[in-house]
Amino acid sequence: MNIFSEFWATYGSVVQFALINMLLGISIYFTLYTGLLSLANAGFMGIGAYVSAALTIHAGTPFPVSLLVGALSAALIGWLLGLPVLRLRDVYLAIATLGFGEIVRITAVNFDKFSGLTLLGGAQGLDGIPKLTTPVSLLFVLFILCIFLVQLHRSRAGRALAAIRRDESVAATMGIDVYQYKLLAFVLGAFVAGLAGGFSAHLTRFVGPNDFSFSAAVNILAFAVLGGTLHWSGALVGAAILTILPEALRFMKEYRGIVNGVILVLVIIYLPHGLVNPKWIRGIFRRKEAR
Amino acid sequence: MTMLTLNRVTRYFGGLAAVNDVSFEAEANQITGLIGPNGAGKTTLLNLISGLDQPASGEIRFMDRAIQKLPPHKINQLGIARTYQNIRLFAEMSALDNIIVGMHTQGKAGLLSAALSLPGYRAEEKRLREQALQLAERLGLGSFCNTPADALSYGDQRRVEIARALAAHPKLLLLDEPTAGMNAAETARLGELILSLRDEGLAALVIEHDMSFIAQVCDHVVVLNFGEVIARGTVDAVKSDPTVVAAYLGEEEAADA
Ligand SMILES: Nc1ncnc2c1ncn2[C@@H]1O[C@H](COP(=O)(O)OP(=O)(O)OP(=O)(O)O)[C@@H](O)[C@H]1O
Ligand SMILES: [Mg+2]
Repeated sequence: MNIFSEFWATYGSVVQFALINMLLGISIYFTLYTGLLSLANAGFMGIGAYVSAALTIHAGTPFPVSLLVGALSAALIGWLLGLPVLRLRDVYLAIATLGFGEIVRITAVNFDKFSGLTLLGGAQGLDGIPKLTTPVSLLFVLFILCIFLVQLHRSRAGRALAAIRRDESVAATMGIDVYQYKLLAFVLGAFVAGLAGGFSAHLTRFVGPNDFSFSAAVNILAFAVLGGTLHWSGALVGAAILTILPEALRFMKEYRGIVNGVILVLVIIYLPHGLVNPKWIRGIFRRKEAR
Repeated sequence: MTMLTLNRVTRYFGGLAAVNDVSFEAEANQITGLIGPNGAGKTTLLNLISGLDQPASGEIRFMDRAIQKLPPHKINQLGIARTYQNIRLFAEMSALDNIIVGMHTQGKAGLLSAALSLPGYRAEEKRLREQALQLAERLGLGSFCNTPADALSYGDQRRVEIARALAAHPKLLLLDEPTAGMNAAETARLGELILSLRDEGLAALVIEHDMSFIAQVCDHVVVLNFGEVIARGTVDAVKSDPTVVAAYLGEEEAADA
């Protein structure tokens, strides 16, 4: 017990950051699974963080309510953003959604000035957010999402998303409304990113406009690239590794960023589909059955 | 009854009239053949009918509805399904899963009922699965159901594509060179299948180079050359039409040269 509490005192926050990053991994998985390269998730995280933190601080709403309203706000904005940008594809979509993170940042900086309120704290950000995120609440939400993902893949909607990723014209000639399903995946991703933002704000006790910029967007993408998008658990594995690795490499001091990057590059070169490949998972189960 | 009507349909690629002022009808309960030399515009025409491409001018009517401006999923929902000349299966999905994706319009379970695994969703999944299995059996794919599509032979892949198209319960089936890559026995069996589907009320528009297959299944043939209809009628009438003979001969001479 003593060892555990010592471990937790040192690494408890790393574990919770890893869980939050797993949520972000899931959020980008929704879009990548549908074949959409979207970099808007950092922006959605920002919306979830700001809205939930402002609610907790200024309205005194209970944590689950703040969290849910934050995520729903991100989903709503995701829907509004998705309507125009999901007409775009590939790298054009990536650029358009990257611009969105910048819009969130600028809005956060200037919101109070323009509205005359003191809600978001401008360039200084919002601090003094109560620390309400707990490992149990994170695990609970993550667990629900994993069940949702398993069910999604077996469902008609999940098959439609998979078909769109493989060949969207063929999917369309099979009666699948490609645009609406893309919008669905985009909004689901926004909702989960918004949840992650709410958890993050109530863990670090701070939300700032620069937390959700370009590098945050790229980090989230890296979770999915490292873990792979052939299976939903890839994003979880990628997020966990990329959160823990910098901690594990702490002894390398200033070189750890480089080593971190080199590992990522090596995985991309040698395992272009990421670390998690469903074929291997199936292989393991088959071997077990054979015994 | 006329099921599909093309009225002066035209599609240009740059300066090339790939489909030029094409008009013809496909009747309900009939198999219509679409033949012509390479590059005649057959596939382009199928893309226009299925909504993957839009004509520059002209009208396409399906069961008394203009469809030339509708998106592909709407056209499929109205009852038109298709296959592709260059097989376009979902490669790493199993044959059965490919067919089940084709049943998209046959289900209606939403995300929520799937997430909560409600009885309605489970009943629907079971029904779709059974129907897909039946279709697979009917096309002789029973033993490949769980094989990834890209591990199948060309002939089997073509049949999975046909099953996937049939899965939508279309009224009109568009087939783009369905026998390419099939051996003689497979081709003959496919011919029988198409005829039995016709007897069950399906109409089809079939692009094919294999003239004996065309003779086996088609009630009516339309001949395209350089984007234009040069002949139409029964298989025998078309075969002996001098313009058709000249078009095919011209192609052979060009190939010989
Ligand atoms: N997307 C495109 N862009 C430019 N030209 C095209 C395009 N698609 C087809 N074409 C041209 O249009 C003409 C008709 O092509 P199409 O594929 O419809 O012929 P086809 O009758 O199906 O021939 P095949 O029997 O070889 O399949 C050809 O000259 C082709 O090169
Ligand atoms: Mg063709």
